[in-house]
Amino acid sequence: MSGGDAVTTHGLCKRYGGETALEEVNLRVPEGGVYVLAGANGAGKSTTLKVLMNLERADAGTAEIQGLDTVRRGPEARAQVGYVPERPGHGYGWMTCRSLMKHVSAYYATWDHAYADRLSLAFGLGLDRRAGTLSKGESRRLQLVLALAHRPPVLLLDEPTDGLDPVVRSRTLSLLAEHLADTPTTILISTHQIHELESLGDHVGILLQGRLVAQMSRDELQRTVGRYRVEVPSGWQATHELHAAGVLSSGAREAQWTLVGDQRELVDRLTLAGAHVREVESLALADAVHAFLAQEVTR
Amino acid sequence: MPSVRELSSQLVVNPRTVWQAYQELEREGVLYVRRGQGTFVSPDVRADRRAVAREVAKRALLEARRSGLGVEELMETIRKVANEEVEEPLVPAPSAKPASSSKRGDGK
Repeated sequence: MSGGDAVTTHGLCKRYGGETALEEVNLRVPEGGVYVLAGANGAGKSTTLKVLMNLERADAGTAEIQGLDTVRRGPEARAQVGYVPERPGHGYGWMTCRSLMKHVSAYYATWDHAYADRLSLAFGLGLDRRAGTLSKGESRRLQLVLALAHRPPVLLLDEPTDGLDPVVRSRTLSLLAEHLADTPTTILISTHQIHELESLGDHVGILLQGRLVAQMSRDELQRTVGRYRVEVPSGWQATHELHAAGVLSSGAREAQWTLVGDQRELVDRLTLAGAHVREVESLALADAVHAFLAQEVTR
Repeated sequence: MPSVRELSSQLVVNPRTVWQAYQELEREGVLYVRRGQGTFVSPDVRADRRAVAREVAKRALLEARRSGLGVEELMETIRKVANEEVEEPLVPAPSAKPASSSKRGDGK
């Protein structure tokens, strides 16, 4: 695996009327990475993926997939991608799953029929059902099969476990891990269920109101966000700044904060404020992302 | 040991992480790879465990002597304390699971 980026965007902007959907988004998804795109509803996750698929035109900026401009060389770029869209509905509702798969497979030289069958079986997909009659969860599974079966170098997954029951959810994640082990793949995955990707994701990007407020590797995130357990003298008052950062719990002699920033600097600041730092604990991926968002919102 | 593919699928862990853990454990001599057959736990690990146990025993004896305790007295107390801590045993079961051994590897 080379050290390049598989998916990049440069100054991507998108407006819907007066609403800003994306503002100067510079995404960098390293090749072979599992990049978790996090953010609240309407933060711009789906719009980002749609722009990459050329389903939406950006007002400004460019995007590349495997070095191919997504507008000027769109068809070539999209040939490299397996995409699971935000919503089901693929205009071929009258086709059975089997014929839809056959239809889609014609577009990809790399389509793996045996793998498609295996995935359909694992997902319990009824191949004789018409695509238009599938439930939300079943459509999701069909989309996953269509996205994975040609073993594309890049997977763009928009809430891939949305609408799936817990059993299928965990099976989907297992299949994704297996897919990664079998096929060199870069995955850009938007999700609200960040905890599901706790051990699968190795990079994270956080969107807040169309701005990419953080983008880093998992290791870097681990170093940047921590839970600080401190011992304080009795009657000690937290500085305004620390209060703003959010007290997690506070006893008579002990307090805990979830803080974002350089660890050494934060320890210095706490020490200067008269607190004795006992322990710095790293957080789960979802908690770290939430801490980041909370900090950005109060800023 | 399960294959990287199997374990990453089972635990939903990035295969790269599993691979790194296996590499690390192999470097430490805990695991060894037999080509075409898979990854196995080294028999030496058991010998290592015995060596660790000897060291721990030596240290405990030293402490006991310093405090004027006899060997029998110490052994008796160790058993008693161990029985009291059944819920949270001090010594892990000898058949350590792969998950716990890879955790140990990550911690280094």
